[in-house]
Amino acid sequence: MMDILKKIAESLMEFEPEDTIALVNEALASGIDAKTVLNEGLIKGMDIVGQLFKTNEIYVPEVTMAAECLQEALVVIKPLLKEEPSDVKVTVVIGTVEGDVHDIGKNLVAVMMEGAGFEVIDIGNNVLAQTFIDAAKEHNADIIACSALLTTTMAVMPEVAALAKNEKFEKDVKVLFGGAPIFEKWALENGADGYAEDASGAVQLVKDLVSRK
Amino acid sequence: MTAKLPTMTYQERYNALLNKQPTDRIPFFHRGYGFCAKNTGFSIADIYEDPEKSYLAQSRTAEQFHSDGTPFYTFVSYGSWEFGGEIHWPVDRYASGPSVSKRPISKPEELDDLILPDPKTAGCVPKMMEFAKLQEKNNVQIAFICGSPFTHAANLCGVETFMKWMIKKPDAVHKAMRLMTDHIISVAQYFVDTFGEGKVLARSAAPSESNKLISPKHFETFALPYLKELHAKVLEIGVDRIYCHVCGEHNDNLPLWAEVPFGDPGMLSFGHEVSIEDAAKTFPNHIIAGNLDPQIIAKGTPEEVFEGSRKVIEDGMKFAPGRFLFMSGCEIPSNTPGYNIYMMQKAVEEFGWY
Ligand code: B12
Repeated sequence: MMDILKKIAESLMEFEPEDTIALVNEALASGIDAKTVLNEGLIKGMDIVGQLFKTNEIYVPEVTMAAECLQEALVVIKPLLKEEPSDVKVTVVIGTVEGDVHDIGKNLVAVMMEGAGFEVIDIGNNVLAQTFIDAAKEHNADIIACSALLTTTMAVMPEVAALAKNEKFEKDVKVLFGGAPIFEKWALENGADGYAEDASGAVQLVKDLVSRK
Repeated sequence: MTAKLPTMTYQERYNALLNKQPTDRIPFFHRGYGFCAKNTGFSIADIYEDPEKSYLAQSRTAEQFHSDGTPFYTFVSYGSWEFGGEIHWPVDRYASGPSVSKRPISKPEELDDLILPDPKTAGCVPKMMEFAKLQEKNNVQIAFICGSPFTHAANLCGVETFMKWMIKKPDAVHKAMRLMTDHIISVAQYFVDTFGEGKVLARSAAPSESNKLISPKHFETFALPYLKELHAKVLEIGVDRIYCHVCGEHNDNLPLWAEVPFGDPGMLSFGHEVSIEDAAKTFPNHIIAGNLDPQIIAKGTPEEVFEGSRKVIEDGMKFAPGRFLFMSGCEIPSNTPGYNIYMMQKAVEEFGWY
């Protein structure tokens, strides 16, 4: 059992989505439940990818391809996941703010979050502040994650935070800021509930914020 | 406050730098595009869309800050519009540069249907030519956009798609690189034909091949061969020299960059990620420019900008004496306080004398 899960994890770095899917199907056929395949195979795999990226052993093309393997495998896995009362389901709405088209970093954060088992709604780039709020309402999100790569567009982030504060959500929605020009002090002073420097940090941050709720 | 006064005009200083002759002080360039527009009351779109206004905004800003840089035309999203895509001008709130609204291709197969555009009419080239005529008229450096081929080829389908192809469809990447290299050569030929041999500067910027995005191995496979070919070719057809902005984190690519010809001397500018010392040692014969962190210029206090400038100027004069140009490590954001640019100028006029 351990062997096949390890293979699934490692397969993300082979960049062949069909192979990952085949391994996932093999694991499911052998009786391993979907949740174990997800947690011990795919999520573990994406964790390794994130670490390799952090230490500059791999770069954006490799992470993007690993992400494609993960996403295709998720299509197979997701319908099989049974929700249990003890499950903590986290929904994240993520986008790059108005005026900004830099989305490579945002996409990596989105994919690492998916890899961590969160439900991720990616609303793209050049997103108006109000659109973040509307999407969060529509999807009953726990987290709004904003990305900005320009010092000019950073200014949109406090708008998102302010709109979120004034909005009546069903849940206590947390707002995260991230992107190269953002730093923690600025984020927290400008309305964010959290900031992380990179994609792996973003995943940990969401886990911390959700467990604190 | 220093009592020193310049003994050269910016033109004399620039020419001396290119001719490896002594200059009175280090040359300085503030390097902000949208900033020039805002500074002079124009819109950001004007600086890309309207050559006359763009020229005026840039030359007046240079005058204001005693900056030696002369006006030029640039376009980061280059490569998309030129091959049949569509561009959205930066007219919206917070917009900072043109963005691609429609890519010419999204699938590798579509590369086969792409044809080399006529350089005279392709995308932004007519505007760039109009701008070059203003440069000629005002007797400043005439220039055209010359890559990087990798950054522009990635704009055909979008950087992220291009990155996936590097792993799954390397042939498509090579095909796109071939097309973009040939296109740029045709533009270079058009400019040389128009203004004459030895008259035009090739300007290039290489953000998308930085090690923030790709490995040095991928740089070597997909970017380097075309850079070498393109630079050798444009120099051969009569382009005077090449100026390249080696944008961002390129430390692991540096030894590979050293294989690329730039003319004699060529010019290379670096971001704050690459030290002036490493840059100067890797390129012992070229002009080295850089590299104050644009983030400090945009968000730092005036004292931080002044201190940061001093440090960079001292490094430049120590490691690249006589061939150093002080500038921001990359384009400064349009909302940078003018006073901080003045602090860069002040540091030059305090510490930059030879
Ligand atoms: C690629 C790139 C582009 C591409 C973007 C393609 C795309 N689809 O994304 C193109 C060519 C289109 C582009 C355009 C421009 N760019 Co640009 N670009 C870059 C470049 C080279 C890399 C950015 C990148 O993708 N990094 C890699 C990713 C993985 O890192 P990241 O984004 O930082 O993300 C990580 C973290 O920040 C974090 N994170 C990111 N988002 C979030 C969100 C949350 C919630 C959290 C917790 C964490 C998090 O996790 C990520 C993964 O670890 C940088 C320079 C550089 N070397 O960094 C300039 C840079 C960002 N660009 C810059 C500029 C100025 C521009 C233009 C304005 C240029 C112009 N004059 O037209 C235009 C703007 C267009 C627009 N309207 O947005 C400047 C920004 C300066 C500033 N601070 O204001 C930079 C820094 C270059 C410079 N001048 O120094 N650019």
